[in-house]
Amino acid sequence: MEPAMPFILEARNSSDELLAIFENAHSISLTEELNRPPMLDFLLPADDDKLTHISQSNQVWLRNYDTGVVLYKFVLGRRGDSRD
Amino acid sequence: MIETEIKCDGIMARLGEEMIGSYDTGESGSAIGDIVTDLIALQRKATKITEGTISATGTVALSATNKTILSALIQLHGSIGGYIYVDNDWKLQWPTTIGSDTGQQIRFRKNLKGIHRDLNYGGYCTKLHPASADESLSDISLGPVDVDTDTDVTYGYITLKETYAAYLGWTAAGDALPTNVTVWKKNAAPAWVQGTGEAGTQWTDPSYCSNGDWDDNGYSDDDPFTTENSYTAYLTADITAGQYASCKFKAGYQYDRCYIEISAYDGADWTVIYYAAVSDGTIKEFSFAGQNMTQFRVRGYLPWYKHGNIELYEIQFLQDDVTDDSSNWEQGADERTVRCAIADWDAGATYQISYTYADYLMAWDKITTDDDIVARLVTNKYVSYSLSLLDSSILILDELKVVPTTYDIDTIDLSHNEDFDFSFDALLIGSQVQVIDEDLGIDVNVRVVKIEHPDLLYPERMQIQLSTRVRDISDYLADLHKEF
Repeated sequence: MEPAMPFILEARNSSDELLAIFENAHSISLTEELNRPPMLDFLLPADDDKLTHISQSNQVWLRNYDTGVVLYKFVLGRRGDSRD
Repeated sequence: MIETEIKCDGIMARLGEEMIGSYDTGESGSAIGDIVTDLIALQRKATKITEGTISATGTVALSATNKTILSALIQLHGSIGGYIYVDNDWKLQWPTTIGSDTGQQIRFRKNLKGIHRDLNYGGYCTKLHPASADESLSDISLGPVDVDTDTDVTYGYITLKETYAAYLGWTAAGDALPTNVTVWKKNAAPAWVQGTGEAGTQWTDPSYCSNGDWDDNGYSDDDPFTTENSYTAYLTADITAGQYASCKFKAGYQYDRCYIEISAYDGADWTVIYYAAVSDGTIKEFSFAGQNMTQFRVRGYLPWYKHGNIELYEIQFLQDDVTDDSSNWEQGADERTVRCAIADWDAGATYQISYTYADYLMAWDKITTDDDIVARLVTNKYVSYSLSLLDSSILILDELKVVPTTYDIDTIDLSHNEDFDFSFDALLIGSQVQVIDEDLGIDVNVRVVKIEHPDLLYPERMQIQLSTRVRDISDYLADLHKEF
């Protein structure tokens, strides 16, 4: 049984208003490195309606579900579609 | 199943989308805080990154044209160091220290499942050849500057004191000095010198001057006296050729207050060394950048449409008893050393040297024999001024002269170690941890430089990179060229 997701991903607009929570996000990887911006990768089903919130002007927030603390805020770097 | 992969970057990446048309501090540079303020102000987006706490200090000469703000900040970071990031409040932070030692310990057979230690000699360097778009280290000439000295039974030695410095044109021990190198010998107390032909001191008699436009009583002529900011009179006098760095004079004025300008001539150019209102009847002493002099000039000025003239009682210059001793010297065993026969060595003298930088720096503290010389070319096309190139090159060589030891911790398994105290929350980028593996002989305090969580569904699974070097500068320069 998979553990409960300890982090959530939120789509926010440039005014920080909540647009959506990507509850279908999976394979979320985070890379933190000294003197470089952190990087976040994740997958969403291609037919997820909330993909519309992935845009250059919006943000993605990574929040610790238990503590409510926002770990990092991100901007879009790249988007790609693939078929398994 | 079709899936969409989303890749996101931290907020700082936004600065990579903002262009700098043209920004130039000039060769004298600006304070790092002022430059950051200027660059941040160039953002065009509606949602802007603001300036947080910039603890990094220093003066940097920066020239950027058609570059992103991010690349300019990276260039600055290369010269200054410290740690740069944008926090969740969209504030650019630049502390000089980061993280702390929270006592975290990673130990084999405790919480450490796998470790790989890597000593990367590929990035090791003791002889750094920096290159920039416009200038090179050989654009920098110094001197006369202080030196380290030593002797043995055969030679007296002078060694450059500047960090990693090498002089231009070294060929081999015993060869003649390159023309850019001059050895100076100072062996007597400095003496105050008057203009040639002046006899006695005249601190109480204003009739010092008797040539130029000055009258026999030492007063400057009072015609013309209605031209604003033009000099009213001048005196030019020869002086014993030599190096001077201080001057003292006494002047007074009649009618309206005048200004006095004093200039030095080195045989080719005049340099103004003093300009101020005359303090009537007091002896004024000042220092200036030392230079060779053959003449000096004194001018009186009226800064307004006024009537007045100045009187010069006395003017003297402090001459170092410095002689060019280069003829006794030859190249030493390396490009930071020159030597002379012990018979020519003056133990009572103070030696100085003038030289031009070679186009490389040497990590002398890591070089015992020539076999220890490991050369590397580093191209930083964004540094435009030679002083910035020197500063950044010293910083780079500080890093590259140490073989970086990197520890890749494959995974940390805490699930079966309830008796072992370890806090994930304390494991942050920049924090220090102790890594122990008795079998590998590892017991070091290192800094966390990278943390990868391959799947946040299992946050305890992570790959950690710890290093004795907080950043691989060569990688950093590669990043710079890619501009992220």
